[in-house]
Amino acid sequence: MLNQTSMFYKLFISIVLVFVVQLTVQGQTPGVVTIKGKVTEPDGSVIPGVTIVELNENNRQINAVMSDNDGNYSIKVSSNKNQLRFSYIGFETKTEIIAGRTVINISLKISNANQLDAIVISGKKEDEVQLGFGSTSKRDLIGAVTSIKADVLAGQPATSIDQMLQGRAAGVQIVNGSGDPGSGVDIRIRGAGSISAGNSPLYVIDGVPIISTPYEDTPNFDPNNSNFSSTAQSNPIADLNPNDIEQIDILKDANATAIYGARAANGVIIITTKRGKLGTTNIGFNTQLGLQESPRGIPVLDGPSYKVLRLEAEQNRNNINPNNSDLRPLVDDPTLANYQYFQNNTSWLSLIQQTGFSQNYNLSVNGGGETMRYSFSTSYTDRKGAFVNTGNERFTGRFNLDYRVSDKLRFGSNVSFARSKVNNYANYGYGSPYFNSLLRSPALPLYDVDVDGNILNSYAALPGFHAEMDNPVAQALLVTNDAFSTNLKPNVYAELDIIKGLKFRSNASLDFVGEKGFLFLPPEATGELFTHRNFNRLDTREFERMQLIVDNLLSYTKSLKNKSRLSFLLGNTFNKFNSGELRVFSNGTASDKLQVLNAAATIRQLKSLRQTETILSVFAKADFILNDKYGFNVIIRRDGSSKFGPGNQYANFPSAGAYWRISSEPFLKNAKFISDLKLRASWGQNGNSGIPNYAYISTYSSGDNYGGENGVSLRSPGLTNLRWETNETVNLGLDVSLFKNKLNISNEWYIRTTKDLLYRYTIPSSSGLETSDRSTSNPTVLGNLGNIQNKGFELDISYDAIRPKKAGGFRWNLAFNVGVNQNKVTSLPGGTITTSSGTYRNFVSQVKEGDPLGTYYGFVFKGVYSTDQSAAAKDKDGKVIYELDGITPKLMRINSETGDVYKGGDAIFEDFNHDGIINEQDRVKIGNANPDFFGGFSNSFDYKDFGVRFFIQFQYGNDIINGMRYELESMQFTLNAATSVLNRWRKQGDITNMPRALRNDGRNNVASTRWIEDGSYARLKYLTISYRLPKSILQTIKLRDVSMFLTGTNLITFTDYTGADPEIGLGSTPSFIGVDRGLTPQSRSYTLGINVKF
Amino acid sequence: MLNFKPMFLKNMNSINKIISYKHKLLFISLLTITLIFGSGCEKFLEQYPQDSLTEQQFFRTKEDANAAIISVYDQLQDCVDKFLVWGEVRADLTIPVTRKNDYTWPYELTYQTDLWASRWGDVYQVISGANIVILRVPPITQLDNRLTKSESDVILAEAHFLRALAYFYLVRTFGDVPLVLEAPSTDQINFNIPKSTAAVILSQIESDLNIAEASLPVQYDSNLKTRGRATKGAVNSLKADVFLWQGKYEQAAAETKKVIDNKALYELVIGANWFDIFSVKNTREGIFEIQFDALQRETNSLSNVAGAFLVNSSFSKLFEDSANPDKVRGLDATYNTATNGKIFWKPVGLSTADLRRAAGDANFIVYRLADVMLMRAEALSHLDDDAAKAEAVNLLNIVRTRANLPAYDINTISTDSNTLVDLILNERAMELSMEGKRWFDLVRIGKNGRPEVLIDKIVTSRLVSERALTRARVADPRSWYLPFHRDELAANPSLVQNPYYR
Repeated sequence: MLNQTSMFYKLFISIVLVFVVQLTVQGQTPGVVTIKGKVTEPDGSVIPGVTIVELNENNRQINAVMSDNDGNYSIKVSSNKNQLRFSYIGFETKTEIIAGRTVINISLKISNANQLDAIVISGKKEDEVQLGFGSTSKRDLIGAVTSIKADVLAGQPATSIDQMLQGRAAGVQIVNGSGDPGSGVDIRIRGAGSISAGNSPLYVIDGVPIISTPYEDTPNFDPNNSNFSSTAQSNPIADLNPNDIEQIDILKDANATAIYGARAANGVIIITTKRGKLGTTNIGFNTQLGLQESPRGIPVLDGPSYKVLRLEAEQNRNNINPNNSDLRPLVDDPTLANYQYFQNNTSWLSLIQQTGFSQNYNLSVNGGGETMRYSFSTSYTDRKGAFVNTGNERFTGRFNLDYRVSDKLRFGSNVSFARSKVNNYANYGYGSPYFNSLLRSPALPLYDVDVDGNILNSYAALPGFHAEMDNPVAQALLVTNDAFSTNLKPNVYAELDIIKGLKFRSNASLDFVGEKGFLFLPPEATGELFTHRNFNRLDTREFERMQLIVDNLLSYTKSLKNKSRLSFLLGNTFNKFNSGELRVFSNGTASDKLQVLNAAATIRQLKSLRQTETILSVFAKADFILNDKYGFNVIIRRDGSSKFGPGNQYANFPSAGAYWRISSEPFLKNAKFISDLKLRASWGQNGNSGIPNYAYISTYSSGDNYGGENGVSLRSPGLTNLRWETNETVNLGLDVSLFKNKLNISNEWYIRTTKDLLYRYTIPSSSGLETSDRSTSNPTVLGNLGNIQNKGFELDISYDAIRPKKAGGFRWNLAFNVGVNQNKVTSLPGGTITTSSGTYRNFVSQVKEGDPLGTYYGFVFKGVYSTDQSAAAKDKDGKVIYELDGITPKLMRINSETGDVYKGGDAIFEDFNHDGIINEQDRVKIGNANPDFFGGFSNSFDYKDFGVRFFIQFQYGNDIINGMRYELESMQFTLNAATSVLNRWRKQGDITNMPRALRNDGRNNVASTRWIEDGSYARLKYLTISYRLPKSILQTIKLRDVSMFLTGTNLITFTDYTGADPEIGLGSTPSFIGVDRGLTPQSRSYTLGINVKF
Repeated sequence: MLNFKPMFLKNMNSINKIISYKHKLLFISLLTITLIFGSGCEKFLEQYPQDSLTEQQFFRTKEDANAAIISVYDQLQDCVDKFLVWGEVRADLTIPVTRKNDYTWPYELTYQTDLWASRWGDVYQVISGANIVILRVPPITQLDNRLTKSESDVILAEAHFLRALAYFYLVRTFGDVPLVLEAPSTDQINFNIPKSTAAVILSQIESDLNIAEASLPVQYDSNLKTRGRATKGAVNSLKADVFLWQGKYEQAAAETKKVIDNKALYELVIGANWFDIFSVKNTREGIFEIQFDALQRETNSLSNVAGAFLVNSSFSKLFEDSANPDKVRGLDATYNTATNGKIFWKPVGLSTADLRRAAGDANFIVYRLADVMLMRAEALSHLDDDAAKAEAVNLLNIVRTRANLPAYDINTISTDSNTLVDLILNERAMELSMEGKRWFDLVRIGKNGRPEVLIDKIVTSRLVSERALTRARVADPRSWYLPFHRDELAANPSLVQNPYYR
């Protein structure tokens, strides 16, 4: 379906392009006077963005243009008698009569009349910072906000905005989930503050909060099929077109986010899209083409050495029976029925790797006059991943309109649409095809073989021995796992100036996110027989989420004498959120070619769900700026949510802050090198209500049958005490600008405390409450208990190392940011929480008072016993402990005094209490997944039409559980292993760090430091070379601007981490992060981009 | 929500009027205030789930009352694996196929702290379900006059019976356990209940059973309900078991008599059809059987539990190596031969031939007539009364002769209580093995004055190399009760681990 769309799209683009070119050519009508000139300040520095309007005798506007980045303009005027008006916010407006001139250079003075306006003082429009429900200049900012302009991100071929932000803002940790196209990104602003209520920030686009998280999927709702997971999922944020973005503001502290109250505990990301500007029409077209290298694999054993390893593993568990079915395929025994299956040497990974290819086309048109401005854009993106059959396609459209009805009344609307498709790998059985291709036995063939050894026309999927892993090639090529999303966001506003300074604004918006999922498992890929529930299995699912928001806002601004200003804001918001889902699981379709529900033999499960959440909020804000020296604000928001029961439904979230511009004090007047010095302090509270709907209500559900009758039982108890999780931040900031703003330094210190932590705490099973899995866990109840603290420091530096004397001169800018965050669970009544969702093999997530979220516990690995005798227990002084006879050394044992003894080739674990037993008491804290610090470093060089930029992103001091190494070095199962196991212990006396192979015995593979590695890295994320066609050429080819760039992504990574990629997604369990589960690693890619403006 | 769209439209219309309005400021301010504090806010925030019933919506009709008690039986279905493991596998009739899986760990005398068998959540779910019924069903008679007081009493009686049954399993397995009588419908109740002594639990069981006996019918309108739901016969059998456990032999004898005398409802199936008890299910011998039916998608894993064990050869000798082999209950009935040894066949087979159940839907038989007869025989053996002992031998003989075994001659055997009990215990093993009875039988006899019976049976059933360690451990009666699961101890600070495991 999308393929057709893309075809039509390309056709459409070409038609538009032809049209545009013709228009430009026809536009050159002779006989009209063109006036050119340059707009400067009195000191000669250029002013870009000045509006130049042609006025006729009646002072009506005829035409308008804007000055370019070098201050130059060019306007076609219809009569010599007309006037030109030059205006720019913060400058005095000048009107010139043309009087036959063709060149009018003009110098604009900074306006004195309006100097009380903050924007005037800051002088530059780009210093404007978007806060919720309004903007302020950076100069007046009290809270902690990082602003990123689109031009900083130009040439960075990210396909989603959250990727663009990676490493750009101090204290904002952004991690790619995986290297698959269309995969999600995890964002933590100032650490994780919640265990169960979510840690994702709120996204606000053009003033409207959007649905930003993927649908909370429950892939394993089929209780009989716990081994299946990972359906393709779409990520609503990835549906935004990065080319539409003008500016991104990241609000970090509670003062900045307080206006969003209960939705903003994890910070707010405000995205402002491009709007039409006064002047002539701008038409821009850009295209990007990219290549992605295959990700780095991990070298694994070939067929023969795999068989040697496996044989050893069997012998080490004393399995030497030659008739044993586990052993027969490993020895050269042609009488074995399936002998030919085990004589191959297949390199699975290389069979599913490919070079990824991506293409992106974007067309935008914007412009407008005094009464109406518009901005239109459309884009098409198609990415094919570095593994076969993975990819992502996206089509977007956006239309922004601002209409001025009268001097007092304005209307406007933003409408955006996106349709995307993600196709991804399903985790059938044991893992994804990438995972399976590393672990599947290399001795097995790709294609089925008959008794004579002839290769057949179908993939080999063997029942029985070696069948733990499915054929990854068949899985990659034959399994369909797609997600389609539809994203529609219409939004209208009206704005009325009531009296000078008093404005009323009303905004209504709708956010619709629909997702369809489709999965088909043909038997050739799964090896299942027709009686199995996964034979020709077809799952379809449809999710739909819709959010309605109505805002009303009354604001008043009054400029006072002596650079003072007062403003008030009063508003309310109604928010209604509907979601619904429909899922059908079926199996046994008549043929693998019939992938429709009506061909299915059995509908295994049908499920539908509808939910509604409502939020009602009132907020008020007051700002007072005194003499451009002192600033104060107070914000209060009151939220009501349908998620909480009577008595707890409403909560108030207050905030207050102040700044002091020290540089305006008389004692610093003489320090000329200080351009600005500002101290900021704020305090505020936010709430978090990221829990399931209706959680407080005692519910009963049916489905408990007995003797042919239907029963209804308690599903969850009423939670009368359930209330908001409160997030309190104290922030202290210091902004320093030196040497005429050449060097800008911004520091933030903060303490962010989450109180009344929402989490599911474990209760005794004697309560008789239902549990998710009654045979393995206790029941849990959602409640408010415990505190988490994040405290840290953020530093942002921007330095114009070399500023050009004149336009086109050499420019060098450096920007550096670093964030330090320390996370700690400061109080946790009820002791340790172990989360059943947070496990990896033998590692289990444990949250303990005093630890950061993401702490690992386990044994300390100290090498490998070289002989059986060396596995003796030792006392504190390192002396061997003997049995009662005084001669036999007491051997180390597993778990208990009657447990198995450790032998030569087994892992040495530190026996902390010297009791000769490795058990619970020897488990210690062995790792912390939180980085000590992280940040980014960028450089840009510009000279004439050339530019070079590079960006380095780094993270230091975090630990990673190297899960892929666990899988490839555990040597416990029938899976393949990494070549590093060639170094394993094989006979008495061997001295090595790699334990022996041991089938079905996990003694060496328990949770220990053996699997933990330092995850620090620095990565050259982007290197971009750009070139802009010189003006002279542009004039000949009648184009306004042509530039091109070449970008290399992920070019070099410096790390000691031995896994494929040190950038590990944070996952959904905040207490169990930094686990490398073998998702697709990120790889190098190269992008060529061309931008054309007509 | 009601005012949602109109409010917005009103808003837009108003703006046009306002433009020409003189006191714009006043008007707008009023409008804003109306929007903020206007009506509909409270309703707007009230949202209820659509896929389940809230407590207010449920417990209103007769059907709701019935659905509530059915769900307690449903939860009882989930307990049967544990009932079987708790009552069977630590005893002497089984040996494990593999030593370390969830079911066979209890067979080991050293325990893990996270033993599957020590999770009691399923059983407490029966208790909480019963507690909810006891709290919520009586008021329904006020709301729905189709539910009469007597119908409500029957439902309550079923709840009391099920609660008593659940506690009886707990008290026999763990000794002292938390006594929870409150319904967990809000988070306001105290979940951290300390354990009560076994004596307190047992007296609660007795009082629950008295309530149950008063209102329960003798039988229902269908055989399936009569065998599968709580009845007077089921209560009397459970009461007898409870009394016997406490050594209250006269009361136990009285309760069993009520069951045995109801010859119209309960009779032994004939020897030739003995296996029908398990394969056909709900025979006339059944008193209370936890129902399973694969067609209703109600299945269990009793066959997996049983399959984790082989028949201990000392046990199969009882059937085979005597002058009169037991051909009714032995090979092809209680057990069957497989490649790796003799496997238990009761929960697996559909016939005495090698025909298996397609799905795990064997009933879990809590009480049947043969069991009650042997309970009565055991109770009577303890009475110092020759007539009682004669009846005890007679009852024993009824069970034996059904299996075509020769009857004991009252004149030639010793009628010493211990001798009789040993004979009965032997008969119970042959009649009731793999029905979750044996371990409780041994503990009952052990705790009521003869620990050596338990110790000897257990020790001799183990491998020679294990016997010394086994004897040392099992000689301590505290080891007869399971430890509490470590997760339960972590979740409940008021709970103290059982003494043997501290």
